[in-house]
Amino acid sequence: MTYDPTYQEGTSVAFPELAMKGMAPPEEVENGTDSDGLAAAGEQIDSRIALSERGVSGLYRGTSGDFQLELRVDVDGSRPMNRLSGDLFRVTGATTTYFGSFIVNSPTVTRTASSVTIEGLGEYTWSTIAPQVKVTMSPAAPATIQFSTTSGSPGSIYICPFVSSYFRSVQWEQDSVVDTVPFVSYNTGSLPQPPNSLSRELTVSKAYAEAGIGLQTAGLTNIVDTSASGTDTRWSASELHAAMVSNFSLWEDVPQWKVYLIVATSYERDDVRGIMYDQQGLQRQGCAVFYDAIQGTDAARQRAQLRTYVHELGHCFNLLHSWQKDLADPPAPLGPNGGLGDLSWMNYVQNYQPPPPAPGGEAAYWANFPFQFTDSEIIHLRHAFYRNITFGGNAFGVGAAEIDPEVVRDRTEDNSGLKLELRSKDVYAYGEPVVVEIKLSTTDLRGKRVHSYLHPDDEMVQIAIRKPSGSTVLYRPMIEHCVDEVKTITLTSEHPAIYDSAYIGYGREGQYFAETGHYQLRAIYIAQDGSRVVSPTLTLQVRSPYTATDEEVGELFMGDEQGQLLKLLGSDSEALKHGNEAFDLVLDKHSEHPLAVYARLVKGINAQRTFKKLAVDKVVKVREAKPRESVALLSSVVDDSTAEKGVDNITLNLAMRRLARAHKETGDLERAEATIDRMVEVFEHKQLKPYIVQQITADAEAEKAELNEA
Amino acid sequence: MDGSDLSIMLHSPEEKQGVGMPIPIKIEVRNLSQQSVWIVGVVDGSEDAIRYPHYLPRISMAGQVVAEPPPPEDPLVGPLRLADFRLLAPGEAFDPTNPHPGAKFLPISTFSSFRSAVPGRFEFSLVLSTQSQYPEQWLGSFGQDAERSAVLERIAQVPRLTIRSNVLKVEVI
Repeated sequence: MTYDPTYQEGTSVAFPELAMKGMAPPEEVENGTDSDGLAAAGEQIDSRIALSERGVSGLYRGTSGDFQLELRVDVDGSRPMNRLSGDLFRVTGATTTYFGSFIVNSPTVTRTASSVTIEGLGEYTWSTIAPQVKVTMSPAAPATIQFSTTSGSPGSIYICPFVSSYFRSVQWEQDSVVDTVPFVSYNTGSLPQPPNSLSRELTVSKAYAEAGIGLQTAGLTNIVDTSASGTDTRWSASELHAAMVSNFSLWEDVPQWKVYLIVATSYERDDVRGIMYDQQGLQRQGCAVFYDAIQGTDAARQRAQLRTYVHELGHCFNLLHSWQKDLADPPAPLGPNGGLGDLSWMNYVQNYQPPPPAPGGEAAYWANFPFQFTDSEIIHLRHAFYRNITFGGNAFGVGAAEIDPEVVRDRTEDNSGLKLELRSKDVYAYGEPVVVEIKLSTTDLRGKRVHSYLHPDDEMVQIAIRKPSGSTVLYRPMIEHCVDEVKTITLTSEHPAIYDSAYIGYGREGQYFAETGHYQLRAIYIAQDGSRVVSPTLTLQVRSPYTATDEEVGELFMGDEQGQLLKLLGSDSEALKHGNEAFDLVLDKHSEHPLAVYARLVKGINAQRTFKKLAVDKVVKVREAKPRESVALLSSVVDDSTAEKGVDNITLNLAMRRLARAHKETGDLERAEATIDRMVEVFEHKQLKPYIVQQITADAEAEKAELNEA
Repeated sequence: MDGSDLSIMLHSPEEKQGVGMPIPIKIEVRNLSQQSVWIVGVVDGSEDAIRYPHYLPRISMAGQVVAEPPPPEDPLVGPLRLADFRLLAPGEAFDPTNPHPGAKFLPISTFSSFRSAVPGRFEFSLVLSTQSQYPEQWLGSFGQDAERSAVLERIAQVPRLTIRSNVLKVEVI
């Protein structure tokens, strides 16, 4: 099913004016001030004031069906950019997931004494059939946003009460290292400034407030004790990142409107004034300023400190240096003189060079700098697509991202009480079957009832795969399993997680890991209440073959038939004859190669069972099990894997149980039971969690009981 | 190949320059060797010595330094791309601040923004260094992944040297 929040069936309204009658008054939000005396996000606006007086710009929020819209109206007020923009989030169960963003550049604004209408054609991060946007505002009523097709057919409608005069609200936590003095404020009139710049007491928060961004100090302020580091007062980017993870009290490794700044002593490189160091994992969540390079109480140094703080936080908002904007992905236009002429927090004072013959350099910068961002930077701060700006969103320098499959989106809110994880080897050989382990655990101390269908073939867990080439695909099973029966389990503190492993190398689109390079995977668990629990990103590498033999063996695993055989764990089907021949070749010619264990696994499991074929005369013929062949093959798999060079744990468990059955089928029940006992010993020695070992032991007892049945 | 195979020359108009006026400085890097040479112009961070190649300017008067790059603001420098490399034929010269198509070169801000407030005789000099300890010291801090391997290979082909320009004397009246 394709969702389009601008065109959901059953939510469009032909006469929005009628829908506005009887609506609740604007939503009340928190009202408080930070230490600067600024109104925090959520001013209570007196709706009795005529619209033409109070203006309409700001943040609005509303829902329609499964979707929540955050709308930013920017057509009046301080430095209006004449834009509309919005971010849409899908709410399913207890989880909220970002869906997409849009922007309307240069909308048409029509004002009367009692209403304001703003409309225009939007640009979207997804393909929509209803790109036209019309916002209607009246006193004492929320804003109404009507999407429609270009031919005028109504799409979805959202009723959005006013939320804040800030376009975005951000929580900012600042820590400082012992013996540093954090910057507080600077009066712009202390030193000569441009005549058109108002003298004012500027804090970092106020600098961003002037751009329409509410920067609220939040979290716990720490003084970081560095006594243990002795004379080493220099910080590396890695150390700064680790400090953020451990000291940022608002830290979560998810995209969120929360940012961290640390006032550190000095960088590992002399005289660097500041750094946005967070370029690993979910990036841009923290920055640092270096006190040793920027300290000073005189006006010039205080002015420079203000600039450095605002500048580094600007990088967290994904603002590049003034001359680098065309290096963004996608490129953004440069200001005058290749960007060097920008009078902006994001330029370097010494690099300032307007088009000749105007003077440049530090003196010229300060003589002309109004302590503001440029228009294009303000448009980014207010209206950038969500993932291009939110902390922990796109990587630094990456703009509106490529569109992932709809199922894989950053969580913005997850109250499901569940956590999903993907695990795998870090590196796979070329051709090696990619098997991932899926773990679902509870974060709810009261326990959580969940369905236990973790295998992606059951389609209650989906896995998205971003390939080295950059394309992202969804793993689709070769065969759909319809799970009509509800199989649930309660996760508790004693038994907090369930696991499964899945071979995802081959599916409906063929081989998913045929390219060498780095892959990124994310899984989504669809809970019974509709919540979509998303795993962190797993990165794995498929390495290039080291030798000609590696390449030959890898190629023998790469065919469609081989993929199907791995998925089916073997088959006698004539249609997969060439795949079986490829595995036979691996065992004949490359029996010592590490990947041969997978060929033995597939062949061994297939040999352990009977195989029914429907012959041309419509008579079922049964190929009998070949237990001795199975024992030989699976014994080798087990020996390799218990020596840590074969298959993963869950597959090993499967292999040992099938080996036990094969032993029984040869008539050797004693050997069959010994295999099960050995299985328990093997996993006891693997240092697994106690409840997992208990489960394996219980399963082993059940298996032995089954083996003993006649 | 050593520092004698490349030269870096600064030129300015012969006439005297006025107080408070910009001083146009032309920079020329020339291949003096008998073989083609890969070189990179002034890229983001070159003037601050944040990344290689370093192009380090200085302006002096009466033995005192009156202008040179300040300490770097922050180390976020843009990517080095294959397009930024220039293959100089034997005898060929290029201006490292004037980009060829596709390259992203920057001016030497110390020179382009300098305006003397007093008359006098000023000395301009520029040092070009490619003597990085590691090739990674040439790379940018974002957006570098796309061409990383190819760029590292090309960096290895740039001769390692440090060359100092002539000392260009400019009279300001």
